Amino acid sequence: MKDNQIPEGSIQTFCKLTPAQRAKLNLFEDKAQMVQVEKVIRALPIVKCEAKGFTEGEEKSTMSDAITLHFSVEYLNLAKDETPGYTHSNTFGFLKRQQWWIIVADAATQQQVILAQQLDFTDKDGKDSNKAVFELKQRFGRAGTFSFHVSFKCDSYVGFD
Amino acid sequence: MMLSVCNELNAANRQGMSPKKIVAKNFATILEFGQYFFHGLFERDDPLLQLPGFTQEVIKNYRR
Repeated sequence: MKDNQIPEGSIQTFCKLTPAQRAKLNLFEDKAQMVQVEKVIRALPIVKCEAKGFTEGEEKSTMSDAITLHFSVEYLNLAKDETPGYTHSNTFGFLKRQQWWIIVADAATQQQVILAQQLDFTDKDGKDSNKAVFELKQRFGRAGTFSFHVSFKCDSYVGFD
Repeated sequence: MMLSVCNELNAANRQGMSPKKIVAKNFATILEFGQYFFHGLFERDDPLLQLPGFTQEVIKNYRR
């Protein structure tokens, strides 16, 4: 790992290496096993998450402004017209699609749920997409700073949240 | 499924129809339970065990 300048050994880091870097690690005696691993990595949720809040057309919000909360999850290892597929598991014997959830909680307590929403990986025309966008428009009834704690969670794989 | 039920319970709580309130940690725990369940792992297990062919020995070699 040190020879290949890999900073830490998490699953995310391993999946973000190039196939050549992974092959250089010589993890398996049988090369066919590495081919299997590469196929699975292509299906794993290597994503870019984004969360922002803004008022449209305004720099400062007033009491009557609707505030837009924008959340997105984009699969970096899928083409634009591809959508996340079934979960790969060595032990689970049923087909299951991978899903992403956003959990928005009050920042002070991080407990009170404001929103818990499953994300939909289709574009505006209903076609498959590698990006899910969710927008919520809300009037808060007063001006000021509002803080939230947002978690992006995949329901199918450990270590990618 | 369970998360939809949690959302329903929270909606009922907001309307005063249910005393049960599901907090963010409950949502996270349900999702994390699902993650480990699908891969037959325990919480203390390494996430790399999700990949085919990965054993404790392979992981040890990777982190070497």
